[in-house]
Amino acid sequence: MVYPWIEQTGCCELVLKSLSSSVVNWEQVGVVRKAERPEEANLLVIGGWINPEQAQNLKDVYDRMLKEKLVIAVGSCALSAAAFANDENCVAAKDILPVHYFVPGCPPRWDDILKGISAISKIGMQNKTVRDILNDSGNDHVF
Amino acid sequence: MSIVKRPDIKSSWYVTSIVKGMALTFRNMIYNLFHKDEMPTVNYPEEKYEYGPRFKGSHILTVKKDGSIRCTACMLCATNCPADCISITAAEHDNPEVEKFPISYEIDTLRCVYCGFCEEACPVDAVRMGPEWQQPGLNGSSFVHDIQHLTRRPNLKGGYTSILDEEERHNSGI
Repeated sequence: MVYPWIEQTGCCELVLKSLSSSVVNWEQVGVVRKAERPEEANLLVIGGWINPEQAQNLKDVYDRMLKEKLVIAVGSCALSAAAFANDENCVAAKDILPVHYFVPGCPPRWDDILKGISAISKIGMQNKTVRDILNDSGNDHVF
Repeated sequence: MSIVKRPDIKSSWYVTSIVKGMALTFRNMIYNLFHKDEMPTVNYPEEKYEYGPRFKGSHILTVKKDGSIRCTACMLCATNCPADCISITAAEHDNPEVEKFPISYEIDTLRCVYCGFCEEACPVDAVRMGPEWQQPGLNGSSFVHDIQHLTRRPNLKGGYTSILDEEERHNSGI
């Protein structure tokens, strides 16, 4: 059970908005409903590029969240500032926050984001180890 | 000065519009019950959406017919990459006819933007964008793929062989 709070920019915004559409339902992978304030959320989904002002904003949102703080980074810009890594106006999410799940792609398919949400929603529910969750999510390249 | 007219009783009940709207929803509901194949909804974990054959997924390094790696370490893909995610180390080959070969070829999938420029730049058909999806994973799993993963991961079932032979390639001028 997760209550996601979404921070979205750029073209990943279009993919993240389609997650709660009629074709793709994120209720079927463990999302109860979208949080209306950061105080109600326990999952932070970061999609798209992050500039330094927004990085400060993200830290504030992360502090205001519930005690159980889960973070998913979506898209190459949020993961490692892919093509803008030499530009100081773009920051990687893993440098400012502890990220639990990475979804690569530019932009990623909605299948992968749902896979991430369904994998990470089991962290809070049961006392599962990381290896159990990885085995359930069906990743092939896990060492 | 405009005077706002209050709605009369007929339109203030909104009965006709409610009936119209509910008729639409029930019509669609009953239609979907008897036409399950035409439903646009995807039951995600059980059934998966199929993308076209030109889908640009995770990378594949092709091999020659004798099983050795196709790449000649010319560095064109690493130069053309907009995100600098490919790192190649070239080495001398034992065979004097072969100029050089990559002793390590690593792709950082966290930085890759899946643009396909490496596939376009490659002159010897060594890098391809495969039909698989990008691989998401928890923090701690490996995202930097080496040669072993790119050529012979279990999903590829033995690896992709590049059809072009060495002589055919030189004759056709590629």
